[in-house]
Amino acid sequence: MKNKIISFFAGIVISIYSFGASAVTEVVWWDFLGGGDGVRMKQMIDNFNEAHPDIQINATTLEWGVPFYTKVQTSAAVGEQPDIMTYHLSRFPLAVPTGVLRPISAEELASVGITADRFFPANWEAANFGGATHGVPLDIHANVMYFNAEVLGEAGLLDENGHPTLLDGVDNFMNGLAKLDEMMEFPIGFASDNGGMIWRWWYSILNMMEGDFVDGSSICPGDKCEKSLQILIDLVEKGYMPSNVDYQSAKGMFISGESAIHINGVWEVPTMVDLMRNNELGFKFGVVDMPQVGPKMATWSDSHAFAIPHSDKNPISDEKLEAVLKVMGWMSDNSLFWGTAGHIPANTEVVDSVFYKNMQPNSTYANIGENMVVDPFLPIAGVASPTYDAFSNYIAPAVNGELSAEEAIQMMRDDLEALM
Amino acid sequence: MTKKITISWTVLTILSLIVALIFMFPLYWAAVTSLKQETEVIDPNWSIFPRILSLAAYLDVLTKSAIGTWYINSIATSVGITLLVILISMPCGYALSQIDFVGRKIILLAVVVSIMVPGTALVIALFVLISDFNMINTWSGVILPQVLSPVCVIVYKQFFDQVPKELREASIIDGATEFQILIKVYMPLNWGITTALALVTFIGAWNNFFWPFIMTTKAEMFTVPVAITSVSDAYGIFLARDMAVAILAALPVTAFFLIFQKRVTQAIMLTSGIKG
Amino acid sequence: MKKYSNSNFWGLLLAFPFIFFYVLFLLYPTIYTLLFSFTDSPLIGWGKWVGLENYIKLFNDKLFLKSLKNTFVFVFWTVVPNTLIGLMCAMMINRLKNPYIAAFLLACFFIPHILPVTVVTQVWSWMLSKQYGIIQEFLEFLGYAKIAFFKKKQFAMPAVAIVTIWWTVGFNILLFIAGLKSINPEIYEASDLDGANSWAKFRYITWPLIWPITALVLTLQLIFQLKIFDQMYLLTAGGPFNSTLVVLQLVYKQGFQMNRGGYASAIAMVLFLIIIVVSIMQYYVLRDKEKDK
Repeated sequence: MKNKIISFFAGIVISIYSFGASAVTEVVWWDFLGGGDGVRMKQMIDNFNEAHPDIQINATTLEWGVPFYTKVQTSAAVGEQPDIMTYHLSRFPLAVPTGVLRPISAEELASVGITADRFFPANWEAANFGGATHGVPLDIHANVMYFNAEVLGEAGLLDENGHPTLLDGVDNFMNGLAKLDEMMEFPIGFASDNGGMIWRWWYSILNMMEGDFVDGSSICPGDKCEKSLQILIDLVEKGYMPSNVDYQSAKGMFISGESAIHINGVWEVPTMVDLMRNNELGFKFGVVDMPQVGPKMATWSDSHAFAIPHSDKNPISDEKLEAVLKVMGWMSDNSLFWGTAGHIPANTEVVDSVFYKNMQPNSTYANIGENMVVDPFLPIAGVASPTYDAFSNYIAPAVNGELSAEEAIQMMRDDLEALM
Repeated sequence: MTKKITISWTVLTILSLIVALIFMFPLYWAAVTSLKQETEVIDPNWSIFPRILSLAAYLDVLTKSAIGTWYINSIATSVGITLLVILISMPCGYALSQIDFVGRKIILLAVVVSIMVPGTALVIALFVLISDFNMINTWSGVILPQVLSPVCVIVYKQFFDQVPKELREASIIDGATEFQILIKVYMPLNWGITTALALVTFIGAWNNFFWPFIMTTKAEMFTVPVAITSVSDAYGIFLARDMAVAILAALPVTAFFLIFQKRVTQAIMLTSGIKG
Repeated sequence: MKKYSNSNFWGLLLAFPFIFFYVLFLLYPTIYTLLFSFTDSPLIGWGKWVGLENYIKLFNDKLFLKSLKNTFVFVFWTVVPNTLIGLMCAMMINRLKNPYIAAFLLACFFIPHILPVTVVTQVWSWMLSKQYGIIQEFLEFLGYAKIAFFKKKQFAMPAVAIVTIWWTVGFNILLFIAGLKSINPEIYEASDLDGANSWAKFRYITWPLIWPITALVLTLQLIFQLKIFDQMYLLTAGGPFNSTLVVLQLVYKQGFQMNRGGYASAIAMVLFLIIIVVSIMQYYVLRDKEKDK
């Protein structure tokens, strides 16, 4: 009798549970968006969940870089992978051959309105590395220069439009910094201990100087790599930026007013905007292109895409797949809001819209779109790749005065050429 | 002559207190930082005490992060490990101590040898094993690799060895089984040891970083120590919040220690093989 | 007779849970790791048999040899200093007349030991932060420039060592206090009559009598530090220039990050053997030393 009662109640509990379960599909989402843009993404996720009672995104933000990609790999191996994740397009050449990304067929994409003509050609091509669509681009993001408009004004470094005047040429830049150096200890707040951050600025400078990172199977032909690195080394040596500063502290230096200039990606635009709105930023800030220290103008850029992890042990079910595709479609359609995270939406319709064109402060750096350069499309490059490793191991110490530019580039060459 | 000694005692005492306070400074500083506002934390004009006492960092952690979930994971796994360790080690210690059975010597040797074996070097095999049982991202997956405690077995054996033989012999005459003797005679006489071992095991389990870090890939299964470094949250600068999370992670074990100080220190000495 | 025939049954039954987990979580993984190390497998699943290839690769792998060296360097920086500092603090506490102050002091030194490693690393990262760390202010006060402790080759390892010592010295202090307390005070009084000074008392009474504890502490420390992973991973991730990459970290990197399970298992086996050999060696050396006394 006791057994009968137990099984009766168990039956009720199970049916309630499965009823509940079939009514709502949970989409497990992993991202690494821990900067200012993450605040906006959380908002987008909340908006999606509100609009879709039958699909609920369960999102977690994990540590950016190697920890994220390692967790994706191990969890896919044991069948515990998320249903959807963010992934850097620059990493596709490394990731696609390992089979960690599930290809998405054209039909599957079309079912939620995602077609190739919606994206910038180069961007879409990158997402289709390996002959299949492995990710749906969400945005394109680049490096910019944040500046303290009041301090620069005081130093006489703003033109009549409020634009900084130290952006044109390396001498101009250095002179401007010298002037700022008289007013503060470190004019530039920059995360000089962060290999990834250094890569982005350095790679931009390399392209400004019209240098190449790879030529065939040799790394850093010529001496442009060393020259680009020397510029960053000089900035530290001259005392214009501090050595060995971590990401959070570098941001703090700009926000507290200690430094007048901050080189970072666009993803901290919402941080500054939010601080300003809450009257917690003690000054008026601006965002522009980075200083052009070579013959050409160039800005490093990368792209976030949504991808589905592939797992032999536990492949994604059709039901989940349908839900994930809906999420991808919705995110793409509604990526105008993602623009407020500082990024350029990958959806060309959104970018062409008058709403985006008038978005502030995005429009002040809109022309970076013309000068963007992406990471070399090789397995040794991209986020959490051997190149990033080399930058942490050799280039960062060089910037901070431990190695010469030649030594550091040569060590990197040795490491990377062995992998080519 | 006596005056000289008094002065040097006072000097020694003051010196020791200064050393102790310097030693505690990092924790003081972390606590103070967690009670400052984020803008004060990055202010170049820092101060040793918060200019404005603020619980904002703590509120941030409690409302914006899943610390409740992580606490539950930590509590569940730590309690699970502690219970299982005691349940497994006590009978084994008793058997090795009181029963002459086949294989006794081998098992005793195996137990002693296993103290030298670095379990952490077997991480890959254990990860694969737990994965094969589909226990990755489960409490069992975190608990099971940690239930082996050869040290507890040895300690139990040593203490059971000291129980007067007459008690056991009397029980046998009364017709008790070994199990009943363990439960009714040996266990009650050694509650102090059990408590001490349980406390130390709990603290060790709570603080463990390596195994939960390897055995969980989903943030909602993280234990507190793993979560505080593995999960980021987006919102500008959060240095005070980092400290607040650290303080919250440390509170339970610190409280445990302060309440049960004597037992914990006793257990440490026992498990190191020192009588006291 | 009844007692005897039941013994095997009860003995094995009561010991069974332990044996079960022992075989499952100790013996089996050891054999698995050993076998796995002879293959080229990824993390999950079996690759093909390659014999001793992984081991040969290992000993030619610059990074592996570096990680071995780093592990031993770390042991050098922590084992002996940790023991000595523990002993000195224990002697200091032991001499205090007031038991309440002694208890307070012991608690102060011990609390770091019961904290999770991630709390310790968070607290110290903050203290030593290049831009905002309070230690930097102290350095500037002394007239030095700020130091990026975890980024500079000559400071990274010592910094991790200091954090480790801060975290674990309480344990040693506790053990030493127990040992010091067990020394009969009459021995000291007798030596006073002989006119012995403090140093002589230490060298001829304290040190020899405390030797069993010292030996124990050294042994435990050695084994503990050889297995280090947590602090390195959290504070330096093996940098700068891989100067703080230790063996277990290499196992993690090769196995979990680079997905080379077979190779990582080979590294793990080597570490395994080193720890066992060192433990046995130390056991015999210390035991012999004790015999000499």
